[in-house]
Amino acid sequence: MSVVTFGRIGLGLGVVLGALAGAVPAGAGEGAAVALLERAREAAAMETFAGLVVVEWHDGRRSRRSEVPVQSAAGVFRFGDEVVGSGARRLVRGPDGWLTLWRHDVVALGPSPAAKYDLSVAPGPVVAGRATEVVEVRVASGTAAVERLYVDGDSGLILGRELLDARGRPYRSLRFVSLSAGAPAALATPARSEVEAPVEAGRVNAPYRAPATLGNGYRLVGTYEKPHHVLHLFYSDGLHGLSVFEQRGHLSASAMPAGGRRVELDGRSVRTWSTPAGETVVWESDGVVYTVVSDASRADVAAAVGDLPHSQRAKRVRRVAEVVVSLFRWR
Amino acid sequence: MNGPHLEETLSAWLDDELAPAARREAARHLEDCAACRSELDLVAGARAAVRALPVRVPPAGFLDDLLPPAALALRPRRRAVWALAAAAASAAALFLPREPSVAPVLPALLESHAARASVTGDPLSQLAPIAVPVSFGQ
Repeated sequence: MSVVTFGRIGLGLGVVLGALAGAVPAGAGEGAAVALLERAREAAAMETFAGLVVVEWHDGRRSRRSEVPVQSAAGVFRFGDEVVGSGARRLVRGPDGWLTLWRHDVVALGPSPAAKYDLSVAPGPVVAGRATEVVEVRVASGTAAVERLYVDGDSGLILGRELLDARGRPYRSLRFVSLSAGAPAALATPARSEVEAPVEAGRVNAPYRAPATLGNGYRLVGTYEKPHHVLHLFYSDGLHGLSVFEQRGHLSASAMPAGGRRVELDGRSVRTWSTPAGETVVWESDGVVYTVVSDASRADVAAAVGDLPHSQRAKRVRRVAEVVVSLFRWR
Repeated sequence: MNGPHLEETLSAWLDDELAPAARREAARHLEDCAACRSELDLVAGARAAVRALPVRVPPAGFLDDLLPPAALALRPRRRAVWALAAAAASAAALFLPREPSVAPVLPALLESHAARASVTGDPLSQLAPIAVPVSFGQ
């Protein structure tokens, strides 16, 4: 694929950072890596392009692969026919039409990734016909990389991202396989949508909980209330997001989708699902159902789950009550 | 650990109601699973404690008020058992949780997470995965 020139619809921080990133030498350090990641965020909203992204993940049983067409123009990006973003608005297509899931800017950006990770930049492979720089993410200097991000040296877009297991093999990744300028002149945002965006939550009262920090360096940066009294806590480590959803009630295990795995995390029994968007963990503790969703590594998700309440008391009381009643079957 | 936790199977284990194959499978699981062994101890302990309770004779007229006429036709010992069962069930009901059952809608929560994460993170790598048609349970 020939090198293409991207249509820029704006100048600003992204361009300035892009110029800095363009001068990144091989093996550059954290400052250059952070600048590349900042630039990528800007570039995704400013560049005009069309491409095809391959998403691969391992669901705990087998590897899976899917393709998603991506378009971006005039600040609107569209992923297939299912997801649209425009500014801070995020819409998904539901069974009955479009749903607005988010619609306001966020001031708190969260911690810097350099506070937790050892970041470095090196020349990367060609991705979708374009030269890249690769940001290697390590938990500590000298250890194996846990994640790689491939950044287009020209546009600044992230063209690939992969999370790596202990053997260095990707277990969740996405990568552009084609990319070109000249997307449609304008992408329309849905004219009508049902709003399901959360609102900022005030004080969190028992039985809900909102720890200020979780797991390996995740800081609470947003507390929201969703419809049906669902509390949504959003944590960030500067590179990944981790959401904790809390719902009052008792987990109806039989109503949960199949395909999940029941695992022990630090001696705690939970159900997990691995998806292309990340890991999902569900359990119940003292009358609250917790669902953790994160695009972070499995190790980070496990550590965060370990910091949240996990009591079997209610389940045990119920079990004892069942036993008391069942005693009379034998007399 | 072999397979899922035993949960309700523990009662059947204690009652010796499992089929031979199921009992062998449960035994293998118990050998490896400390959580289920602990749960088994709890259930067995609760049963022993209840069985150790003294038998109380209900006051005159108690059963007449409690049970329907058909039940009164049962033998006295059976009636006492039914009364105790009803009382135990009532007591148990006091301990049973009253909050609603919850089944989180995982696809919707994944989308909510990605929507929020994409506002402050990289929108491409956050949103592209939720455009993948994933059916939970497959």
